[in-house]
Amino acid sequence: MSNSFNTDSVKGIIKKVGCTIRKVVDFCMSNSVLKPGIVLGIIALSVGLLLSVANFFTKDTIAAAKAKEITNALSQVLPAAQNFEEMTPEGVDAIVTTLYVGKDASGETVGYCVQTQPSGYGGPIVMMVGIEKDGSVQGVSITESSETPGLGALANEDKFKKQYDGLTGPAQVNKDGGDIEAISGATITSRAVTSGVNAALETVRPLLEEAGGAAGE
Amino acid sequence: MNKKLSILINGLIRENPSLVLLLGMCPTLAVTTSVNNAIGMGLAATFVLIGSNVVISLLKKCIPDKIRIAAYIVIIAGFVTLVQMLLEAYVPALNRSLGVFIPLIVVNCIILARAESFASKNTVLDSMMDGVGMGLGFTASLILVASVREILGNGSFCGIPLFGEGFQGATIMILPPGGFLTLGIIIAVVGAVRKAISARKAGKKV
Repeated sequence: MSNSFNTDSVKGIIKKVGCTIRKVVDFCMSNSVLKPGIVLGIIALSVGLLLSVANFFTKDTIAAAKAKEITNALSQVLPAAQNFEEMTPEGVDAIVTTLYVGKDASGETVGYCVQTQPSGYGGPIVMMVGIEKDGSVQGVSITESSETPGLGALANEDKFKKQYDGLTGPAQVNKDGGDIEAISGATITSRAVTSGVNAALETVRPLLEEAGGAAGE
Repeated sequence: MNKKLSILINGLIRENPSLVLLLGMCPTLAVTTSVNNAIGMGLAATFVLIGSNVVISLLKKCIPDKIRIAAYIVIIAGFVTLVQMLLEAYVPALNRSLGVFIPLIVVNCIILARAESFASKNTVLDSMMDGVGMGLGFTASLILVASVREILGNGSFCGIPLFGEGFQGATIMILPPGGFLTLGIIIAVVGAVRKAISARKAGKKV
Protein backbone atom coordinates (compact mmCIF):
# COMPACT_ATOMS: atom_id res chain seq x y z
CA MET A 1 0.00 0.00 0.00
CA SER A 2 2.63 2.48 1.07
CA ASN A 3 4.56 1.44 -2.00
CA SER A 4 1.85 2.49 -4.41
CA PHE A 5 1.39 5.72 -2.48
CA ASN A 6 5.07 6.40 -2.89
CA THR A 7 5.10 5.80 -6.63
CA ASP A 8 2.10 8.07 -7.01
CA SER A 9 3.76 10.90 -5.15
CA VAL A 10 6.98 10.40 -7.12
CA LYS A 11 4.99 10.44 -10.32
CA GLY A 12 3.30 13.63 -9.18
CA ILE A 13 6.60 15.31 -8.46
CA ILE A 14 8.02 14.25 -11.81
CA LYS A 15 4.93 15.57 -13.51
CA LYS A 16 5.22 18.89 -11.68
CA VAL A 17 8.92 19.23 -12.50
CA GLY A 18 8.19 18.29 -16.10
CA CYS A 19 5.48 20.93 -16.27
CA THR A 20 7.75 23.59 -14.85
CA ILE A 21 10.57 22.73 -17.29
CA ARG A 22 8.12 22.83 -20.13
CA LYS A 23 6.82 26.21 -19.03
CA VAL A 24 10.34 27.59 -18.80
CA VAL A 25 11.25 26.18 -22.24
CA ASP A 26 8.02 27.51 -23.71
CA PHE A 27 8.69 30.91 -22.20
CA CYS A 28 12.27 31.01 -23.46
CA MET A 29 11.35 29.83 -26.93
CA SER A 30 8.54 32.34 -27.31
CA ASN A 31 10.73 35.15 -26.05
CA SER A 32 12.24 36.92 -29.03
CA VAL A 33 15.36 37.94 -27.13
CA LEU A 34 16.11 34.70 -25.31
CA LYS A 35 15.45 32.26 -28.12
CA PRO A 36 18.16 33.38 -30.55
CA GLY A 37 20.67 33.50 -27.71
CA ILE A 38 19.81 30.01 -26.55
CA VAL A 39 19.90 28.56 -30.06
CA LEU A 40 23.24 30.21 -30.77
CA GLY A 41 24.52 28.96 -27.43
CA ILE A 42 23.50 25.41 -28.24
CA ILE A 43 25.13 25.59 -31.69
CA ALA A 44 28.35 27.03 -30.28
CA LEU A 45 28.39 24.44 -27.51
CA SER A 46 27.94 21.52 -29.88
CA VAL A 47 30.56 22.84 -32.29
CA GLY A 48 32.95 23.27 -29.37
CA LEU A 49 32.22 19.77 -28.16
CA LEU A 50 32.84 18.26 -31.60
CA LEU A 51 36.09 20.18 -31.95
CA SER A 52 37.32 18.98 -28.58
CA VAL A 53 36.66 15.42 -29.73
CA ALA A 54 38.57 16.10 -32.97
CA ASN A 55 41.39 17.65 -30.99
CA PHE A 56 41.56 14.59 -28.75
CA PHE A 57 41.98 12.34 -31.78
CA THR A 58 44.47 14.49 -33.73
CA LYS A 59 46.69 15.98 -31.03
CA ASP A 60 49.01 12.98 -30.77
CA THR A 61 49.43 12.77 -34.54
CA ILE A 62 50.13 16.50 -34.71
CA ALA A 63 52.76 16.25 -31.99
CA ALA A 64 54.33 13.24 -33.72
CA ALA A 65 54.37 15.07 -37.09
CA LYS A 66 56.08 18.07 -35.49
CA ALA A 67 58.65 15.90 -33.74
CA LYS A 68 59.34 14.04 -36.97
CA GLU A 69 59.88 17.30 -38.80
CA ILE A 70 62.50 18.36 -36.26
CA THR A 71 64.19 14.94 -36.39
CA ASN A 72 64.27 15.12 -40.18
CA ALA A 73 65.85 18.56 -40.11
CA LEU A 74 68.36 17.42 -37.49
CA SER A 75 69.52 14.36 -39.39
CA GLN A 76 69.66 16.41 -42.59
CA VAL A 77 72.07 18.98 -41.19
CA LEU A 78 74.13 16.48 -39.17
CA PRO A 79 73.91 13.10 -40.91
CA ALA A 80 76.72 11.58 -38.83
CA ALA A 81 74.63 11.65 -35.67
CA GLN A 82 72.12 8.96 -34.74
CA ASN A 83 70.59 10.42 -31.60
CA PHE A 84 69.93 13.96 -30.62
CA GLU A 85 69.65 15.34 -27.12
CA GLU A 86 68.16 18.70 -26.37
CA MET A 87 70.08 21.01 -24.09
CA THR A 88 69.61 24.53 -22.82
CA PRO A 89 71.98 27.01 -24.41
CA GLU A 90 73.52 29.56 -22.04
CA GLY A 91 74.28 33.21 -22.60
CA VAL A 92 73.54 33.15 -26.30
CA ASP A 93 72.01 35.40 -28.91
CA ALA A 94 68.26 35.86 -28.56
CA ILE A 95 67.65 34.37 -32.00
CA VAL A 96 68.93 30.97 -30.83
CA THR A 97 65.93 28.88 -29.78
CA THR A 98 67.13 25.34 -29.17
CA LEU A 99 70.41 23.49 -29.01
CA TYR A 100 70.80 19.78 -29.74
CA VAL A 101 73.80 17.55 -29.15
CA GLY A 102 74.24 14.96 -31.89
CA LYS A 103 75.63 11.60 -30.79
CA ASP A 104 76.51 8.57 -32.86
CA ALA A 105 75.47 4.99 -32.14
CA SER A 106 78.15 4.53 -29.47
CA GLY A 107 77.08 7.67 -27.62
CA GLU A 108 80.06 9.74 -28.74
CA THR A 109 79.31 13.41 -29.44
CA VAL A 110 79.77 14.06 -33.16
CA GLY A 111 78.44 17.59 -33.36
CA TYR A 112 75.77 20.09 -32.47
CA CYS A 113 72.61 21.35 -34.09
CA VAL A 114 71.36 24.81 -33.34
CA GLN A 115 67.90 26.03 -34.16
CA THR A 116 67.92 29.77 -34.79
CA GLN A 117 65.18 32.16 -35.70
CA PRO A 118 66.50 35.27 -37.45
CA SER A 119 64.05 37.81 -38.89
CA GLY A 120 63.75 37.59 -42.64
CA TYR A 121 61.81 39.70 -45.09
CA GLY A 122 58.41 38.13 -44.44
CA GLY A 123 58.77 37.17 -40.79
CA PRO A 124 60.95 34.87 -38.70
CA ILE A 125 62.96 32.20 -40.53
CA VAL A 126 63.19 29.05 -38.46
CA MET A 127 66.36 27.23 -39.45
CA MET A 128 68.55 24.41 -38.26
CA VAL A 129 72.33 24.60 -38.46
CA GLY A 130 74.44 21.47 -38.03
CA ILE A 131 77.99 21.99 -36.74
CA GLU A 132 80.54 19.22 -36.57
CA LYS A 133 82.93 18.51 -33.71
CA ASP A 134 85.71 20.37 -35.50
CA GLY A 135 83.61 23.53 -35.49
CA SER A 136 82.68 23.60 -39.18
CA VAL A 137 79.18 23.99 -40.51
CA GLN A 138 77.92 20.68 -41.83
CA GLY A 139 74.54 21.71 -43.17
CA VAL A 140 71.81 24.32 -43.04
CA SER A 141 68.10 23.66 -43.37
CA ILE A 142 65.24 26.11 -43.29
CA THR A 143 62.25 24.50 -41.64
CA GLU A 144 59.78 27.34 -41.57
CA SER A 145 59.69 30.69 -43.32
CA SER A 146 57.34 33.07 -45.01
CA GLU A 147 59.81 34.51 -47.51
CA THR A 148 58.70 35.59 -50.96
CA PRO A 149 58.28 32.59 -53.27
CA GLY A 150 60.75 32.76 -56.13
CA LEU A 151 63.05 35.16 -54.29
CA GLY A 152 63.66 34.74 -50.57
CA ALA A 153 62.25 31.24 -50.56
CA LEU A 154 65.19 30.21 -52.78
CA ALA A 155 67.30 30.34 -49.61
CA ASN A 156 66.29 26.75 -48.97
CA GLU A 157 67.84 25.66 -52.30
CA ASP A 158 71.15 23.83 -52.20
CA LYS A 159 72.75 26.43 -54.45
CA PHE A 160 72.50 28.98 -51.67
CA LYS A 161 72.68 26.76 -48.59
CA LYS A 162 75.80 24.87 -49.65
CA GLN A 163 77.79 28.10 -49.40
CA TYR A 164 77.77 27.76 -45.63
CA ASP A 165 79.17 24.25 -45.57
CA GLY A 166 82.60 24.07 -44.02
CA LEU A 167 82.45 27.53 -42.50
CA THR A 168 84.14 27.86 -39.13
CA GLY A 169 83.96 31.56 -38.45
CA PRO A 170 81.40 34.32 -38.89
CA ALA A 171 80.32 34.93 -42.49
CA GLN A 172 78.91 37.90 -44.36
CA VAL A 173 77.06 38.31 -47.60
CA ASN A 174 78.98 39.74 -50.55
CA LYS A 175 77.14 43.07 -50.31
CA ASP A 176 78.63 43.53 -46.85
CA GLY A 177 82.07 42.46 -48.02
CA GLY A 178 81.80 38.77 -47.22
CA ASP A 179 82.00 35.58 -49.29
CA ILE A 180 78.37 34.47 -49.21
CA GLU A 181 76.80 35.24 -52.53
CA ALA A 182 73.41 36.74 -51.70
CA ILE A 183 70.34 35.66 -53.65
CA SER A 184 69.66 38.42 -56.14
CA GLY A 185 66.60 40.35 -55.06
CA ALA A 186 66.65 38.82 -51.60
CA THR A 187 69.51 40.44 -49.72
CA ILE A 188 67.47 40.72 -46.53
CA THR A 189 66.76 37.00 -46.52
CA SER A 190 70.40 36.19 -47.31
CA ARG A 191 71.58 38.42 -44.47
CA ALA A 192 69.08 36.82 -42.09
CA VAL A 193 70.18 33.28 -42.90
CA THR A 194 73.81 34.33 -42.57
CA SER A 195 73.14 35.86 -39.16
CA GLY A 196 71.40 32.64 -38.15
CA VAL A 197 74.47 30.61 -39.10
CA ASN A 198 76.75 33.06 -37.30
CA ALA A 199 74.66 32.87 -34.14
CA ALA A 200 74.78 29.08 -34.30
CA LEU A 201 78.58 29.09 -34.61
CA GLU A 202 78.78 31.53 -31.72
CA THR A 203 76.61 29.27 -29.56
CA VAL A 204 78.61 26.15 -30.23
CA ARG A 205 82.12 27.63 -29.89
CA PRO A 206 82.29 27.62 -26.05
CA LEU A 207 80.99 24.05 -26.01
CA LEU A 208 83.67 22.94 -28.45
CA GLU A 209 86.39 24.72 -26.49
CA GLU A 210 85.22 23.00 -23.34
CA ALA A 211 85.23 19.61 -24.99
CA GLY A 212 88.57 20.28 -26.68
CA GLY A 213 90.09 21.41 -23.37
CA ALA A 214 88.82 18.33 -21.57
CA ALA A 215 90.31 16.09 -24.24
CA GLY A 216 93.63 17.89 -24.06
CA GLU A 217 94.03 17.45 -20.30
CA MET B 1 18.68 13.64 -61.00
CA ASN B 2 18.87 16.19 -63.75
CA LYS B 3 18.36 18.99 -61.29
CA LYS B 4 21.18 17.70 -59.09
CA LEU B 5 23.50 17.61 -62.07
CA SER B 6 22.57 21.11 -63.10
CA ILE B 7 23.31 22.37 -59.57
CA LEU B 8 26.74 20.77 -59.85
CA ILE B 9 27.42 22.27 -63.28
CA ASN B 10 26.14 25.60 -62.04
CA GLY B 11 28.93 25.87 -59.48
CA LEU B 12 31.56 24.49 -61.79
CA ILE B 13 30.90 26.65 -64.81
CA ARG B 14 27.87 28.89 -65.02
CA GLU B 15 28.36 30.51 -61.62
CA ASN B 16 32.00 29.65 -61.07
CA PRO B 17 32.74 31.35 -57.73
CA SER B 18 36.05 33.02 -58.52
CA LEU B 19 35.79 33.64 -62.26
CA VAL B 20 32.12 34.57 -62.63
CA LEU B 21 30.78 35.51 -59.19
CA LEU B 22 34.16 37.05 -58.30
CA LEU B 23 34.02 35.72 -54.76
CA GLY B 24 36.99 34.54 -52.72
CA MET B 25 39.49 36.74 -54.53
CA CYS B 26 41.90 36.88 -51.60
CA PRO B 27 42.93 33.21 -51.60
CA THR B 28 42.72 33.16 -55.41
CA LEU B 29 45.44 35.79 -55.56
CA ALA B 30 47.46 34.71 -52.56
CA VAL B 31 47.90 30.95 -52.66
CA THR B 32 48.15 30.47 -56.42
CA THR B 33 51.94 30.66 -56.46
CA SER B 34 52.10 26.91 -57.03
CA VAL B 35 49.70 24.28 -58.30
CA ASN B 36 50.15 22.18 -55.16
CA ASN B 37 49.04 25.06 -52.97
CA ALA B 38 46.07 25.67 -55.24
CA ILE B 39 44.91 22.06 -55.03
CA GLY B 40 45.34 22.00 -51.26
CA MET B 41 43.50 25.25 -50.74
CA GLY B 42 40.74 24.29 -53.17
CA LEU B 43 40.11 20.93 -51.52
CA ALA B 44 40.18 22.41 -48.01
CA ALA B 45 37.64 25.04 -49.04
CA THR B 46 35.53 22.38 -50.79
CA PHE B 47 35.42 20.27 -47.63
CA VAL B 48 34.35 23.25 -45.53
CA LEU B 49 31.80 24.29 -48.15
CA ILE B 50 30.17 20.85 -48.34
CA GLY B 51 30.15 20.47 -44.55
CA SER B 52 28.74 23.89 -43.80
CA ASN B 53 26.16 23.68 -46.61
CA VAL B 54 24.86 20.34 -45.32
CA VAL B 55 24.73 21.37 -41.66
CA ILE B 56 23.17 24.74 -42.39
CA SER B 57 20.46 23.28 -44.62
CA LEU B 58 19.77 20.68 -41.89
CA LEU B 59 19.40 23.39 -39.28
CA LYS B 60 17.66 25.96 -41.48
CA LYS B 61 14.36 25.60 -39.60
CA CYS B 62 15.94 25.80 -36.13
CA ILE B 63 18.10 28.88 -36.69
CA PRO B 64 16.20 32.10 -35.95
CA ASP B 65 16.53 34.66 -38.70
CA LYS B 66 18.10 37.29 -36.44
CA ILE B 67 21.16 35.28 -35.58
CA ARG B 68 21.60 33.35 -38.80
CA ILE B 69 24.89 35.01 -39.80
CA ALA B 70 26.39 34.41 -36.36
CA ALA B 71 25.22 30.80 -36.41
CA TYR B 72 26.66 30.28 -39.92
CA ILE B 73 30.00 31.71 -38.88
CA VAL B 74 30.19 29.43 -35.84
CA ILE B 75 29.45 26.38 -37.98
CA ILE B 76 31.90 27.41 -40.72
CA ALA B 77 34.61 28.21 -38.15
CA GLY B 78 34.08 24.78 -36.63
CA PHE B 79 34.68 23.07 -39.96
CA VAL B 80 37.72 25.24 -40.72
CA THR B 81 39.28 24.41 -37.36
CA LEU B 82 38.66 20.74 -38.07
CA VAL B 83 40.35 21.06 -41.48
CA GLN B 84 43.31 22.79 -39.91
CA MET B 85 43.72 20.06 -37.31
CA LEU B 86 43.59 17.38 -39.99
CA LEU B 87 46.07 19.20 -42.23
CA GLU B 88 48.43 19.77 -39.33
CA ALA B 89 48.26 16.10 -38.41
CA TYR B 90 48.50 14.47 -41.82
CA VAL B 91 49.96 16.97 -44.33
CA PRO B 92 52.04 19.40 -42.23
CA ALA B 93 54.03 20.60 -45.26
CA LEU B 94 50.88 21.75 -47.05
CA ASN B 95 49.60 23.33 -43.86
CA ARG B 96 52.81 25.33 -43.63
CA SER B 97 52.75 26.54 -47.21
CA LEU B 98 49.10 27.61 -47.01
CA GLY B 99 49.78 29.28 -43.68
CA VAL B 100 47.28 31.87 -42.58
CA PHE B 101 44.98 31.24 -45.54
CA ILE B 102 43.51 28.13 -43.94
CA PRO B 103 42.06 29.96 -40.92
CA LEU B 104 40.99 32.71 -43.34
CA ILE B 105 38.61 30.26 -45.06
CA VAL B 106 36.22 31.25 -42.26
CA VAL B 107 35.75 34.65 -43.84
CA ASN B 108 35.89 33.40 -47.42
CA CYS B 109 32.82 34.98 -48.93
CA ILE B 110 32.09 31.96 -51.16
CA ILE B 111 31.19 29.86 -48.14
CA LEU B 112 29.04 32.45 -46.41
CA ALA B 113 27.40 33.40 -49.71
CA ARG B 114 26.42 29.80 -50.45
CA ALA B 115 25.12 29.36 -46.91
CA GLU B 116 23.01 32.48 -47.14
CA SER B 117 21.80 32.25 -50.73
CA PHE B 118 21.57 28.48 -51.25
CA ALA B 119 21.84 26.19 -48.21
CA SER B 120 19.36 28.16 -46.10
CA LYS B 121 16.67 27.74 -48.79
CA ASN B 122 17.27 24.30 -50.29
CA THR B 123 17.20 20.66 -49.28
CA VAL B 124 20.15 18.90 -47.74
CA LEU B 125 21.01 16.91 -50.85
CA ASP B 126 20.78 19.93 -53.16
CA SER B 127 22.94 21.92 -50.75
CA MET B 128 25.51 19.17 -50.75
CA MET B 129 25.60 19.14 -54.56
CA ASP B 130 25.94 22.91 -54.51
CA GLY B 131 28.87 22.58 -52.10
CA VAL B 132 30.55 20.02 -54.34
CA GLY B 133 29.99 22.09 -57.49
CA MET B 134 31.05 25.40 -56.01
CA GLY B 135 34.03 23.82 -54.26
CA LEU B 136 35.28 22.08 -57.39
CA GLY B 137 34.65 25.24 -59.41
CA PHE B 138 36.76 27.18 -56.93
CA THR B 139 39.48 24.49 -57.01
CA ALA B 140 39.49 24.43 -60.81
CA SER B 141 39.91 28.17 -61.11
CA LEU B 142 42.66 28.18 -58.47
CA ILE B 143 44.47 25.46 -60.42
CA LEU B 144 44.05 27.43 -63.65
CA VAL B 145 45.53 30.61 -62.18
CA ALA B 146 48.27 28.69 -60.38
CA SER B 147 49.28 26.73 -63.51
CA VAL B 148 49.86 29.93 -65.46
CA ARG B 149 51.81 31.50 -62.62
CA GLU B 150 53.89 28.45 -61.78
CA ILE B 151 54.75 27.59 -65.38
CA LEU B 152 55.71 31.15 -66.35
CA GLY B 153 57.22 32.15 -63.04
CA ASN B 154 59.00 29.04 -61.94
CA GLY B 155 59.11 26.84 -65.04
CA SER B 156 57.45 23.96 -63.24
CA PHE B 157 54.09 22.28 -62.80
CA CYS B 158 53.17 20.72 -59.44
CA GLY B 159 56.82 21.21 -58.50
CA ILE B 160 58.09 19.18 -61.49
CA PRO B 161 60.49 21.26 -63.60
CA LEU B 162 59.33 21.52 -67.21
CA PHE B 163 62.08 23.32 -69.06
CA GLY B 164 65.30 21.95 -67.61
CA GLU B 165 68.06 23.60 -65.58
CA GLY B 166 68.71 26.72 -67.63
CA PHE B 167 65.19 28.13 -67.48
CA GLN B 168 64.94 31.42 -65.66
CA GLY B 169 61.33 32.05 -64.67
CA ALA B 170 59.71 35.46 -64.76
CA THR B 171 59.69 36.12 -61.03
CA ILE B 172 56.97 38.76 -61.41
CA MET B 173 54.48 35.97 -62.15
CA ILE B 174 55.08 34.43 -58.71
CA LEU B 175 54.90 37.80 -56.96
CA PRO B 176 51.55 39.50 -56.24
CA PRO B 177 51.51 41.55 -59.50
CA GLY B 178 51.62 38.29 -61.45
CA GLY B 179 48.56 37.13 -59.54
CA PHE B 180 46.60 40.23 -60.50
CA LEU B 181 47.73 40.05 -64.12
CA THR B 182 46.86 36.38 -64.52
CA LEU B 183 43.52 36.60 -62.75
CA GLY B 184 42.55 39.74 -64.68
CA ILE B 185 43.33 38.19 -68.06
CA ILE B 186 41.55 34.92 -67.21
CA ILE B 187 38.44 36.75 -65.98
CA ALA B 188 38.45 38.86 -69.15
CA VAL B 189 38.63 35.75 -71.35
CA VAL B 190 35.88 34.01 -69.37
CA GLY B 191 33.74 37.15 -69.62
CA ALA B 192 34.22 37.36 -73.38
CA VAL B 193 33.32 33.69 -73.83
CA ARG B 194 30.21 34.10 -71.70
CA LYS B 195 29.17 37.11 -73.70
CA ALA B 196 29.67 35.27 -76.98
CA ILE B 197 27.64 32.30 -75.74
CA SER B 198 24.74 34.40 -74.53
CA ALA B 199 24.78 36.41 -77.78
CA ARG B 200 24.56 33.19 -79.80
CA LYS B 201 21.71 31.93 -77.61
CA ALA B 202 19.84 35.22 -78.00
CA GLY B 203 20.42 35.09 -81.76
CA LYS B 204 18.96 31.58 -81.93
CA LYS B 205 15.85 32.61 -80.04
CA VAL B 206 15.19 35.49 -82.40
